[in-house]
Amino acid sequence: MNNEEINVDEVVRQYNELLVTIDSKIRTFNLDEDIFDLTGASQYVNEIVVDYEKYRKIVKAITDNAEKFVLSNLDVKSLKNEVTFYGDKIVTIKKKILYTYNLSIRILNDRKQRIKDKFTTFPEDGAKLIEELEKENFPSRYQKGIDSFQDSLSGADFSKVRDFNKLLSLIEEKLGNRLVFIDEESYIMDERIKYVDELIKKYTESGRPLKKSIMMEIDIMRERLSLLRYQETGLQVKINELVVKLNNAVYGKKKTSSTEYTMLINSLGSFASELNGFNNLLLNTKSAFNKKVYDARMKSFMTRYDYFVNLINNGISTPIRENQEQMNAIKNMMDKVTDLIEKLKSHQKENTSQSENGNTDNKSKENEQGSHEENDDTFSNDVAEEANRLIADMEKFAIELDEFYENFNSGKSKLSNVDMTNKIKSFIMRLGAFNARVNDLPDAIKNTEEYKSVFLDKLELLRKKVEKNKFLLIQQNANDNTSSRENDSEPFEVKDVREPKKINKYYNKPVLIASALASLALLNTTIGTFLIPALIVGNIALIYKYPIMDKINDILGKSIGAKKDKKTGKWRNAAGIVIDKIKAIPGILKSIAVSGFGLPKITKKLVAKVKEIANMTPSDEYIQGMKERNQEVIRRETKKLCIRYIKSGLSFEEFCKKEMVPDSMVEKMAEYIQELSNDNVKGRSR
Amino acid sequence: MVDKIVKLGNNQEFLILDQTELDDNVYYLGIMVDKNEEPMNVHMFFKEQKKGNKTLLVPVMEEKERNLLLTSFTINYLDMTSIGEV
Repeated sequence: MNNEEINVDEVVRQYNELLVTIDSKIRTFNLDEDIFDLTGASQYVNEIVVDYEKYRKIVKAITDNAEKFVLSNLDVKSLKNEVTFYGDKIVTIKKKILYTYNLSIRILNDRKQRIKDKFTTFPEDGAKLIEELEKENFPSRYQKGIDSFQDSLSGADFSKVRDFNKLLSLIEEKLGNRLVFIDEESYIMDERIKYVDELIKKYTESGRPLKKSIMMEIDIMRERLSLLRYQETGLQVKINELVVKLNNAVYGKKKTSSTEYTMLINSLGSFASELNGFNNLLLNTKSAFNKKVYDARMKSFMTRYDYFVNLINNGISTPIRENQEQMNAIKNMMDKVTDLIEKLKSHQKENTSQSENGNTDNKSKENEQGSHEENDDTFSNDVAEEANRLIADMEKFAIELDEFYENFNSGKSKLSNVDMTNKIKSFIMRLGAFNARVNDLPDAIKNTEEYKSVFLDKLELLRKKVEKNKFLLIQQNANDNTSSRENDSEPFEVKDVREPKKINKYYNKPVLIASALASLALLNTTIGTFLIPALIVGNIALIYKYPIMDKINDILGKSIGAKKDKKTGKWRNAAGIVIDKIKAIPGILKSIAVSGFGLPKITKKLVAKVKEIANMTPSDEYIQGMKERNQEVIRRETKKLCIRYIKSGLSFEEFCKKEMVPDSMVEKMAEYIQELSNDNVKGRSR
Repeated sequence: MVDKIVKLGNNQEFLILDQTELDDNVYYLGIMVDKNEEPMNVHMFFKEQKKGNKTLLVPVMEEKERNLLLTSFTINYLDMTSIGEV
């Protein structure tokens, strides 16, 4: 771009436009989802690269002609950093795509071979599955291949299958092999991550800078690992479902009694736990009863229930019938299932009047939006199926999160820091996947009023549970820095008590206490929810006493291990995100103050205190307090003010007036400037 | 012990930030400091025990007790930061 030709306004417009485009495109690129559509993802990134190149050239023109852009509100100096920042992001995304691509090809080839090997007995089914996989061309889409195979099983003529167990074991082996394969992949990646972590540790200890490429690589591996673990869980669920379906498909066929018994008990058990989960959901979200979801799930439950009733009455083989113990166990389990079905039915009765009332509203709405009727038809079939599956998956995830939290919080289970970090990362990724699934629900569901009350609330609940688990990591880090868990409750003898030499000189005690309490409160989200506001109130109080609040959050952040990205100024880790949350709490407090109902007493007190403090104005009295308590801080602030005054080009009086410098501070500034000029005089005379 | 640095039997050093009494027991809030007396990212509640002439500090790990202490120390903190008292 020629200097003569530069039209500042036009360049700034182009710059802003491209910046917004690139930023939003990068942000909307979802690793979990987009990466599975390899071709789409590559095209998308190529588009970003084209925009990025244009943007880079514009930034170069701006930085080369910085003086022309003085009045354009652009921070010209930081533009180069901005370019690097987006460039790095694009490189990371590209690397992830390439890595996933290579891995997918490898997995695909391996799978194809294994499937060919395993399906020699049933070549048609095997061929069909391979065909599906060829079409999908991506590992995560194996799931679809398996689904398709599963569907073909339910419609297959099993009268020709002579050996049910052989078929079952083949399928289990096929799916099991996938699990083993994923497990192997996870293990290899785990090992690699451990190795790289060691490497990073050595680098850090030696003080040498880390290569960016290493960091990127390890991030990619961690994400890939989380994804594999996610697939692993999904597949285990699939295997269970498949076994039930297969059992269903070959109902009535001759089986050996022990396999038959185990399978039946397992199927009943998993059915009962599914029913129980749905029952709990309905109990917990009474106000958000969704008739459509309820009907769809009940339909599916009743089909399965009838199948079990039929199976127990007519399909159980003689060896089991003659085994009293086994028959009792089956009957007990079936009674439990029946009981749960009855409980579920009672929800319908309870909510009938509610849904009837709701129907009147719905009808009028449907009249307003004519296409809804059509959507509802679709909804009742495939969509309802997906919605049910999503709800069930979310419930399972919630249980898993609770169990994980309980096991680790109680100390029953232990993981290394690396494993724990990976586990939490996998939770975060799975939460992301749920988020995407909820977002991707068809309009038939999204247009219903229950969308928020069922799906979004459930998602929010999961998010809270993941957050809760994140704190375990912070807790573990803190504990690792002290002593082992076993030694924590052992008494320690106090060997020595002494005055600190420097602590009080450099740190404000209230800030230290706030940091300590915030850190400890964060370990318990329940209590943290209303104690952290307390700490914020304290910090607000400090703002009025010490004009150094900018530093307080940094100190608070540092004390709980938060790390900031120097380039972007954003927090880099979980502890940093927590600090952001703390910052957001005054806003939350405000909304609490507005709503003001059902709050713990302590929170009400806090709200009153916030109001009290917010009505106060900083005065000389506070400055006086500051002077007495922290001479160093005053000196630093004075120095800063003086530098600003010198740079401002204003007269001393004008500057003080403009900045509203308090009288006591004016004196300090005058003293400091006098000192500076004395030093200058001395310097010149030397 | 408040505002003092205590050295424990395991050679770790904690700056005691505050103390409170619950059910006739004395509890402390401490932050670990390094050899340069710089605060570290480790915070602890301790319960005081006397054994003869010796003073022992027991880290509080039980969740309910910790929650009580959080409340108690937070209220102390609020009093401390109340206008005119700091």
